[in-house]
Amino acid sequence: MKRVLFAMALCLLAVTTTAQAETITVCSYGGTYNKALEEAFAKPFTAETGIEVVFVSFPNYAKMKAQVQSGNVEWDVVEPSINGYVLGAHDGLFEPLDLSGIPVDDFVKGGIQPYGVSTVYYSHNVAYRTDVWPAGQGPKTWADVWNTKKFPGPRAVKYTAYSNLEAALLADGVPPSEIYPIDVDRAFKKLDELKPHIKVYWKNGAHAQQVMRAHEADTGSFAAGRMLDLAKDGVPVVPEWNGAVVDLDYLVILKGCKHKDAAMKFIKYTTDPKRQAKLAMASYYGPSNLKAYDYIPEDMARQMPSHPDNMKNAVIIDGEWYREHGKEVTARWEAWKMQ
Amino acid sequence: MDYLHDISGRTGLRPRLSTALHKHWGVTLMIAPLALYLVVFYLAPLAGVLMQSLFDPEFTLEHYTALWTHSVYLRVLLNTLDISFWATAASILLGYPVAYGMTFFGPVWRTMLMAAVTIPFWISVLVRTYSWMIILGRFGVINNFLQWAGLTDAPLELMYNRCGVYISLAYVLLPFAVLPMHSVMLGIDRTLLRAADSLGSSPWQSFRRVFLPLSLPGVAAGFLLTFIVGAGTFVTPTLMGGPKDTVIAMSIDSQLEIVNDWGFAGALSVILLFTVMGLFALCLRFMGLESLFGGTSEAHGTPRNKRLDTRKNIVIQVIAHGIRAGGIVVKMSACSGPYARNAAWKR
Repeated sequence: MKRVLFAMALCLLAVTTTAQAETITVCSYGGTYNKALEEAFAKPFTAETGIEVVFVSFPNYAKMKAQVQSGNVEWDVVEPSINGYVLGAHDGLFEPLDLSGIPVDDFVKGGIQPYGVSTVYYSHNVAYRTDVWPAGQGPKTWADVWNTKKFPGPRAVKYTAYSNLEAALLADGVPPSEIYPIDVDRAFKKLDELKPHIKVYWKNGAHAQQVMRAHEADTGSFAAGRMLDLAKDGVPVVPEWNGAVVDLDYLVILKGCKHKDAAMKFIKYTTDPKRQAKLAMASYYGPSNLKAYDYIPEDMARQMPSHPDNMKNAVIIDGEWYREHGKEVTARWEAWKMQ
Repeated sequence: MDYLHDISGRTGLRPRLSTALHKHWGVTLMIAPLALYLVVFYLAPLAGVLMQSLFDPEFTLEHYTALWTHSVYLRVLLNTLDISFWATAASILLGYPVAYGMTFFGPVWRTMLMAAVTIPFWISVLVRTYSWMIILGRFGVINNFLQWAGLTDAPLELMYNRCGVYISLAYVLLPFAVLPMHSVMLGIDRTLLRAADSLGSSPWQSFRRVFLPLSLPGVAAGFLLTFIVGAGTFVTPTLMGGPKDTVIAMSIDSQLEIVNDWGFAGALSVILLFTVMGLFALCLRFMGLESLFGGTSEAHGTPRNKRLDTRKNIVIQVIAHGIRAGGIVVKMSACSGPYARNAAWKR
């Protein structure tokens, strides 16, 4: 009887101690990416601070907004990309961050914002099948993607105006620094040229991979990390680095979340260059803290969107512009697609 | 057809229903928890969506007039109805022989066949759609075979267009068509067929003049149910469709996720809901509620208590079908559950 009581007391103790340990919930994109986040950030963070990190997916903007508006906030940290970040900052969904101690200057342009700290830098790049054109001889730039005489074959692009308008303008010879504000008419005029050759409008990374794997398209616009991931599996595809259209992911804290301080600690923890290097090597996404390149082997670093060489002709998506013009542009894009 | 007219002529449901509920308070009590559940978790969010489409941020009809200024969304609505209609028609045509054939088997075989029809139900729509991509793709099973056999030189365009959507959506929707048709067919009194035989009709004649008319209520119920599910479909046209195959669920999604215009997304949902409800009402007008959901010849000229049974069925089924009709709206307003699950495969 004594033993039973002792065991029960022990159980009780175990239950109360686990209950005392703080747990934060981080919402990100799931799959291998969440695993990479867990290895690079969460495990060492828990070991150091005792704060548990639980990962969930997926950062759905509507769900984020619904949580904050209803006051029922399940997620502490979320990872929206630029569009979601700008909308959320405008809608007042995020807590302002304590940026003290974060080496802002080491980060990519726009990487540190009042409500968000970027984790990865991912980009939409030209990519092609190397069984159609040998590596190095396929389309290298957006102008090449548009050049259907020199590079005939079906194309695939993302299903949103977001990133395609930029690519069209780059193909039309607009320098990266002059993309915004977008000349919408010019972009659509250029898109008209490509339209008969666009066979697939892919909807997400997995779909884009499926399109390339099944050889539905020969070239087009794809997330570089996804293509490198495919190449690792033996699918004959390569991304090119000239003129990427870049999207950043930001870690933000939802307003009204239950573990604000622990969440802030976690976000600061992710800015460390060594840990960012670990994430980048596991996920193929570029680190946003450029000091991380000190810890990434050179051949791998050249395959990352935020490598200084690859950033030269890149365009970072202007979320503010889309917040203002999104409705008109989306309606026009949908009408254009259906014509 | 006389039979159908007879029934649709007697659809004064409301007074009958209320008397039935008065007299049978036990039944009312049984339905009450479900009704309460629906009010809290279904009607209230639905009202929320309606309000959002009218009051965002204050009272405005802008979200509805935007449908005219951006005429593309009317085309999206027509697309939705077109895709849903043809996929439904295909499922009915393919499903009718299946449902009919199943009535010839004994209980054991029928259960097995029923399982064959319903098992795909439990497999994610996403998985089923991806498997169609493997079959219909540029270098998919069919195209590879055709080229291997020397029947075509270049791959046929079987997907990323309307064709791919029809094929895969008809497949996804098939169980919704088979099950109601089958249940009605099971209820058809076979002695009527034997009577027709004994009066000298050929098998084809007795099918055409006896069985087919009696099974029509099942066809109508199957059509309506399938069409409603098809109108709210998202995954299949998103993955199998080309640029011209945008459906309303995709527009709602991009309004929520990219544009952040909840008012307009609400307006789109309300329009879809009312369009589907309008079609529903139209069907009821021509078919009659009882023939649609009460099912069989039994509804006519049967003892009172049996008819009441049918009516209980009607109430429950109408509620259940209502859930389908507004499903997409609830998905949107709840922003969790099915909607979030669909969204989970993004990026």
